[in-house]
Amino acid sequence: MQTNNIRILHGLNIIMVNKTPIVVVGNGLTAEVMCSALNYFGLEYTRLLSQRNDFVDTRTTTINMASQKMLSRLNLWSFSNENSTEIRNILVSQHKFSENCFDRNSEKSGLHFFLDGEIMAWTIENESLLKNCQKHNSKLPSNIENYYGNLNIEYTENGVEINDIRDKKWRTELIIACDGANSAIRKSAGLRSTSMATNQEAIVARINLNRLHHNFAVQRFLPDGPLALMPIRTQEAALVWSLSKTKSANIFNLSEGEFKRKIINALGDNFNKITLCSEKKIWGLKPSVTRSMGRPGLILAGDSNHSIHPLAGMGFNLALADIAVICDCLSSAKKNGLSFSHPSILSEYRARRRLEVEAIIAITQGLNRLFSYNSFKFKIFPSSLTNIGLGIMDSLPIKKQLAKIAAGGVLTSASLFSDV
Amino acid sequence: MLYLVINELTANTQVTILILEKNMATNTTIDFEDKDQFDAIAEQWWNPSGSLKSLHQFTPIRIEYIKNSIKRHHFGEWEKLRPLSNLQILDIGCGGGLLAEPMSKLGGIVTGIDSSLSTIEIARRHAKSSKLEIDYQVSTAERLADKGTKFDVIYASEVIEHVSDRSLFLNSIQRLLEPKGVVIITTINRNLFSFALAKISAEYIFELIPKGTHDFTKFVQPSELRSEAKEAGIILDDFTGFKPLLDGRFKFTSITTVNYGASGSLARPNI
Ligand SMILES: Cc1cc2nc3c(=O)[nH]c(=O)nc-3n(C[C@H](O)[C@H](O)[C@H](O)COP(=O)(O)OP(=O)(O)OC[C@H]3O[C@@H](n4cnc5c(N)ncnc54)[C@H](O)[C@@H]3O)c2cc1C
Repeated sequence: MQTNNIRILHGLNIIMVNKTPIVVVGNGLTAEVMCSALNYFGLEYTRLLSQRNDFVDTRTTTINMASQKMLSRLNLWSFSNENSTEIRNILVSQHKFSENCFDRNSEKSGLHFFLDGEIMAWTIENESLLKNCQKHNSKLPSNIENYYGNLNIEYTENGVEINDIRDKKWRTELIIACDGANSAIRKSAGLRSTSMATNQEAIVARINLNRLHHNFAVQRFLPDGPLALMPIRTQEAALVWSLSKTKSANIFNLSEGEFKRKIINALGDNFNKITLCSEKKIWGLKPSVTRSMGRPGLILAGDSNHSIHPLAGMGFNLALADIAVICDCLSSAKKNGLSFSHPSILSEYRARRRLEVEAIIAITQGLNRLFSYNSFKFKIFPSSLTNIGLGIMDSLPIKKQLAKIAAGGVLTSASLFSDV
Repeated sequence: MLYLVINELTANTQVTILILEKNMATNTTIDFEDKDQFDAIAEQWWNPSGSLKSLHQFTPIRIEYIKNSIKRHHFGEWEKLRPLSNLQILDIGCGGGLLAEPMSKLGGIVTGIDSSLSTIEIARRHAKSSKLEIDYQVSTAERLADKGTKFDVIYASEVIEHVSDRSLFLNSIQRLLEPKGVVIITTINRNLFSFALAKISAEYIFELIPKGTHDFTKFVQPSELRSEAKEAGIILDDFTGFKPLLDGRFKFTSITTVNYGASGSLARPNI
C-alpha cells in the first residue's frame, strides 16, 4: 500500500506530510484488531504506535461466542489449548463456594449459568492474543509508524492534521482512537465522558487451583466488590478481585501466604490448595462512557469509548463489537463515495452501538451496586436485599436473557458477527 | 444573449451575475428570494456540524436511492470499486457538492450546476482540496439544455421545492437526458405532516436547516410530480419514501408523506 507523501518546502527543511484515509492510534488489543478488521474490509489505513511502549498487559480476557466468531473470521483465533480455555459454566454467589462447586450436576447455592454443556465463552491471555494479532498484522501491507510525545491534532473542514513532537505530520480523513480508557485523543478533542462513581481497583493474578476446574468460572460478590476466577488450562485460574481503594492497597501489599489466606477466606476452605503462579498486579477501575463516541473526523473504539467494570468480563467484547460496527459504517460510506469524515458515519456508529454499551454499563454498574453493598446505599439491609436480587436474577427468563446478552451479538448486529 | 454573457463570466463578479439574473426574470426557474438565502449560507456547506447538518445526515440515503435508480436502469458496473465510471452525470442544484463529490468518487463524470456563484465557488474549492475533477458551472437546467448537452444520469436533490416554474424545469431535464438516461428527483412532500416534520421541526425547532430554506407553498405531492413529469415527457415509475429515524438516520419506506425520491426515464426516447 502506498501512502501519498506530500513534501512542503519550508525554508531549507523538507517536511513530509503523510496522507492516508484512516489513522488508527493505540498500542493495545483494540488497535490491533481494528487494523486486522480494516484490512479485511479492504480499507486503507496507517497505524500510529506510541513510542512509550513499557505497557505489559498481564490481564486475561473472556471472549464470548460472537467475539470468537469474529476473531476466527479475521484469522486472529489461532490458539493452542494451552492458550485458550473453554468456559462451560458460570457460577455467581454471594456466599463461599461449597466443596462440589466445580461439579456441574450438584445442587448449587447462587446463580448457575450454563448452556447444556455447550461452550459459553473462552479465557485467553491478553498478551497471547496481542502476539497473535501482531504476527498477523505484520504481514499486512499497511503502514505502521511510530510517533513521539503527545499528538497535536487539528480538525479542519478538509480533514484532520496530526503532528507529533518531532514535527512528523499526517493528514487524514478519520482518526480511530484506540488509546485506552485514559485516551489522550479523546481528551484533546474535548469530548465529554461521564465517569461512574466507583472507588475500586482490581488485583489481578494467576493462581493454580491444584484441582480440576471443569471449565467453571466462578464469581463471589463480597461486601467490597466481586472476586472472579476465570478458568485457565485444566487447573489454573485468572483471579480478578475488585476492592475498594482503601482495602486494595492493604491486600496488595500482603505477603504471598497472607494473600493466599485472604483468597481462601473469600472463596471457601476447599480452595486451600491454591498456589500463586504469577506476580499480582493492580488495575484502577474507572468506569466511564463517552456518549458522543467521537466527533467529525474522530471515532472512539474500545476502552477509549467506554471502560466498564470487569465483573461481567465484557469490556473487550464491547471493543470488538465497536470494531465490527465501525467497519460496516466505513465500508458502506466507501460504497457511497463518502469521505471517512462524513458525519453520517458517526451517527450510524452511535445509533448501532448505544443500546449495547448502555445496557452493559447498566448491568455491570447495577450488579456491582446491588451485590457489593458496601459500595452503595444498600448498607442497611445488605443480605436481605442481595438475596432478593439474586432471587430475581435466578428466575429463568432473566437468567436466559443475561446469558444471551453475555454471549454477544444480540444487542449489536454487524457483518463480522454473521456466519461465514 | 444574456445566457451567453453569464456563461462567460468567471469567478469574480457575483454582483453582476445577480443583477443579470434578476433581469431575466422570465424564462428561468430560479426563485430569487431562495437564491439569496442560499448565498448567505454558502460558507456553511461543508461544515458537518453547521447549519446544514441535517442535509449531511440525509446524504447517505439519497446516494443509496440514486445508486438504486441507476442500477434499475441498467447503468453502472457494480462489481467495480468505481461503479459509475464513464457515466455522464448532471447534478442540478448541486450546492456545495455534497452529492456531486461522492458521485465523482464513484467514477462518474460529474457536472454540477447551481444558480449561486458563491455556492459554486465553495463547491469548486472543496472539490480541489478533495482532488476531484467536477465541472461546476453557474447555470440553470434550461440554459444547459439550450446548449444541447446530454447526460446518462440527471438528479435534482432537494431542488424542486425551490423551483418557481416546474414545468419549464422538467422540460429542460427532458431535453438534457440521453435516450435511455435516468432521472432522479428527491424532495420534501407537501402536506401537513411534511410541513410539521420537515419544515417546522427541521428548520425551526431543531434549527437544522437555516430558517426559511424551504417555502412551504412549494412542496410537491408525488401525484403532482408524476403528472407534471408526464406532461414534460418523463415517466417517473418509482416513488420511495425516506423515513427519518429518531437517531438522525433515514431509512427507505413505502410511505412518501415526508421526504421521497422519484425516478424514471423518458416517455419517448429523445432523437
Ligand atoms: C482487571 C481487568 C480485567 C478485565 N477482564 C476482562 C474480561 O475478562 N473480558 C473482557 O472482555 N474484558 C475485560 N477487561 C477489559 C479489557 O481488558 C479492556 O476492555 C481491553 O483491554 C481494552 O483494550 P484497549 O486496547 O481499548 O485499551 P487498553 O488495553 O487500555 O490499551 C490501550 C493502549 O493504548 C496505549 N496507549 C495509552 N495511551 C496512549 C497514548 N496516549 N498514545 C498511544 N497509545 C496509548 C497503551 O499503551 C495501551 O497499549 C478487563 C479489564 C480490567 C481492568
